[in-house]
Amino acid sequence: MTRRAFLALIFLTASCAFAQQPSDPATAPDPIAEANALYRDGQFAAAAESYRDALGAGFDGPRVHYNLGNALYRSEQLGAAIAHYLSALTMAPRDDDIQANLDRALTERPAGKPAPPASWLHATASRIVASFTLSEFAIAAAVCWWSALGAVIALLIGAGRRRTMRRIAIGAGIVALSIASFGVARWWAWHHTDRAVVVAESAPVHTGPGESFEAALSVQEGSIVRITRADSDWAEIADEGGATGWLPTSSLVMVRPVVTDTDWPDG
Amino acid sequence: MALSIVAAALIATPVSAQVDVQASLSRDAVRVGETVELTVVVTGAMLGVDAPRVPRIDYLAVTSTASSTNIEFVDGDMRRTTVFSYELRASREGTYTIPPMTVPIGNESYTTRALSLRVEPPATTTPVPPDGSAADRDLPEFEETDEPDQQPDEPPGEIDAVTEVDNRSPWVGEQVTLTLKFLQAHTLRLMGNAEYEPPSTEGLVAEPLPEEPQRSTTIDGISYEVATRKTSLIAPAPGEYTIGPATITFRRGFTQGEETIRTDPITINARPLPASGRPDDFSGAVGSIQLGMSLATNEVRVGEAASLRLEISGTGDLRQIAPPTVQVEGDASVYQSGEDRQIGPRETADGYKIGGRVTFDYLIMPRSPGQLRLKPIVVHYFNPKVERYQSAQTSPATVTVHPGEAGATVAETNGSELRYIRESGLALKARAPVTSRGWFWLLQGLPLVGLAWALRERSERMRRERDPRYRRRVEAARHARRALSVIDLSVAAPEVYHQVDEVLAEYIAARTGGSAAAIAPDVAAERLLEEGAGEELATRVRDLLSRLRAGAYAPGASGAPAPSEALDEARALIDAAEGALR
Repeated sequence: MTRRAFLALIFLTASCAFAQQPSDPATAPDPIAEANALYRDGQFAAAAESYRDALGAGFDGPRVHYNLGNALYRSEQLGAAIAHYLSALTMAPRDDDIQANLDRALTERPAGKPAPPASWLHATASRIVASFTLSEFAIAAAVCWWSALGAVIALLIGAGRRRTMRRIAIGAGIVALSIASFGVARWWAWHHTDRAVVVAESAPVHTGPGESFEAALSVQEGSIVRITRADSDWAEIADEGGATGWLPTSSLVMVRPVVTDTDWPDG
Repeated sequence: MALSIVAAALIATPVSAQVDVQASLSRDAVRVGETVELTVVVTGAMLGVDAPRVPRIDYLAVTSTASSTNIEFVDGDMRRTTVFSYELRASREGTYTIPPMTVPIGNESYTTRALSLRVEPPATTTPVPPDGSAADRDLPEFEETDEPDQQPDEPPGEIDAVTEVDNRSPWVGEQVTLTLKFLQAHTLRLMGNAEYEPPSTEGLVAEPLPEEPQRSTTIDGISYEVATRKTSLIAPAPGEYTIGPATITFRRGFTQGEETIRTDPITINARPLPASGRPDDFSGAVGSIQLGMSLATNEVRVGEAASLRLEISGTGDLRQIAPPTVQVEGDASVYQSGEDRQIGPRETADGYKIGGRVTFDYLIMPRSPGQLRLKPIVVHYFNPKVERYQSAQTSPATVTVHPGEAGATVAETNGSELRYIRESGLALKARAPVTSRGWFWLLQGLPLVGLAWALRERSERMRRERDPRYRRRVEAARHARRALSVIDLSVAAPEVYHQVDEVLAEYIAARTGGSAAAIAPDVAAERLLEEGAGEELATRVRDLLSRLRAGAYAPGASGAPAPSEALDEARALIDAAEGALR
């Protein structure tokens, strides 16, 4: 009886955990309808402002970021468009439209599209990491984790089919570890690390947080940089080649989700 | 989906990917008079590539040129290959080196490797005059004829050269034919070969025309051998151009010095194309052209492509013609997918003229079902013969677009490869990842609780298997309760007392060790006391056992409880003992 109750408890809690949250009601008015109408009319700058208002009102989902990216692209704000496409892609990594427009924007930036990793192993791992959200990795790893431990528990309490249970325990354990590794990589690259995109046409990178410091190099519009430190005016960045320096935050638009306390307004 | 791939490939392809430029010859060796094809292949250049200029090499003439462009999609990447072909004709034996050719692409220049060509003597022997001097001449063939030739203004000497053009005031882009005639009296004997240096044509686009057969003519009673060479010249911009003198150097004998003959320079004045009547979308072509269109199919599905081919043919410098714009009424995108230019001298009633055929391939990609109307495609050109602009145009065409799979349409804004904004399908609000929720990590701890429980269960099971006394003790209460629950109260009371007594004795023996047979009421009380049960419990057990045994073995004795009470009391004592005993 105790064993049955325990298994029932596991089933119940798992069901609760993986149950989908209710989606947006279809009848609710579209908060970005006005922005979409402006976009359709070709008023891209006004549409971008309207999308930003929606972001400020808490509608910060991938649809708003994607549409804002389009409006910015049409307004010839390539760097800001890339930042919002990346933000949308963080939340909807397998969306064809977002990926296509991001690719297009990256191709048009002065630095061109980033070169793919040299080794196929790195390229494959990067593709997997980029293809799923952190939640998807977490839920998949959790299912495997539960399956592996369930099989171990079944073995310990002497349930039947020991050979099958042993295989499930080993297989699900390995898969859980692999998925968890990808999940950690996703978390590190897309959630733990603050990323931003350069919006200035060509921004000098200083050796310290101020104009008085020497400008050692420059980054061009559309460059994706990693933020290592930041205050309200200056941010220490590492560019795509690994070079570090300081840029005024006015030259950058953050890619969502933002991790640090500093949350600059969208460009 | 197909459109997505094409569009993604188009927008993802860099302006200049990895460019490769290679030159090759169709053969390493040819005979005098034969042709060999020189091919320059440019791969990976996304910008338009200008035709490389073949360096001028004496006795190795370019007789025709052609170019073709092919665009293909491989694994989603667009690759463009442009092939330039040159037909070379050798007029003298020897080994020739074709120097490296430079191909400018964007801001960079790419260079081919040098090529070597061996030219062997002709297979047939040249007719030799009685004195045998013809074999030394650089003029390849000889043909006897009595046909009179156009006479030069002044009677020629024993050897002479004349240059002339058919039009000294051409329009920009109009072909001018430069004719060079070499005359050598049959009576003249030369020492070695006459060296010929062609005239300079700086600033003009020059292209040799096929050589005409050599022939004989008689001027003022002197028989001459005449070789004629013609070159097409096209002025790319208005202004004056000077065709420099052609030079022939020869020696009459060992003892005589070197002599040189120069032709007169010629100036031509290229006129700009008239501004009046010039269409806004003038293609840049000068000549006379025809336009043809072929559509691979009139019915397609959404996501499939309809191939359209435009063929422009005629005379004139068709290398200048730009791809015409294909306009479609309806929800579709049009991409140019290929280009092929076969340009070279063509024989016409007016002699050889530069011309040929240019084909442009397009893909029409419909985005939604319906009708697509192809507007007539118009190509405007300037016809120098009639000295006005003319146009060639195609007929309108219609393409029926059926729904694609599941009636899907392609979400793309009209006239642009940028994917359109989304009004559904993507979430409006961001959802925090589950890893940021406390309950998620609590749930992940639950299997660990289960694991701890399972470990404890396993340990307990193994101990019971190892230690029978332990197993008897821990399972005593369960067995006792089960045994009490199956006692049948409908049998005689003494039998019930007996069974309850047995169960209780077995329980106490299991809990305290030893055999149930040795459990007398007093012994039971003592053992319970030894195990830590209280005085009261021990007394109650002793009392119940005594009364049960009295009822079982001395029916009618006073003090025996009712059978059901005996059962209840036994159950209560077992519960109390489980609480009291460790």
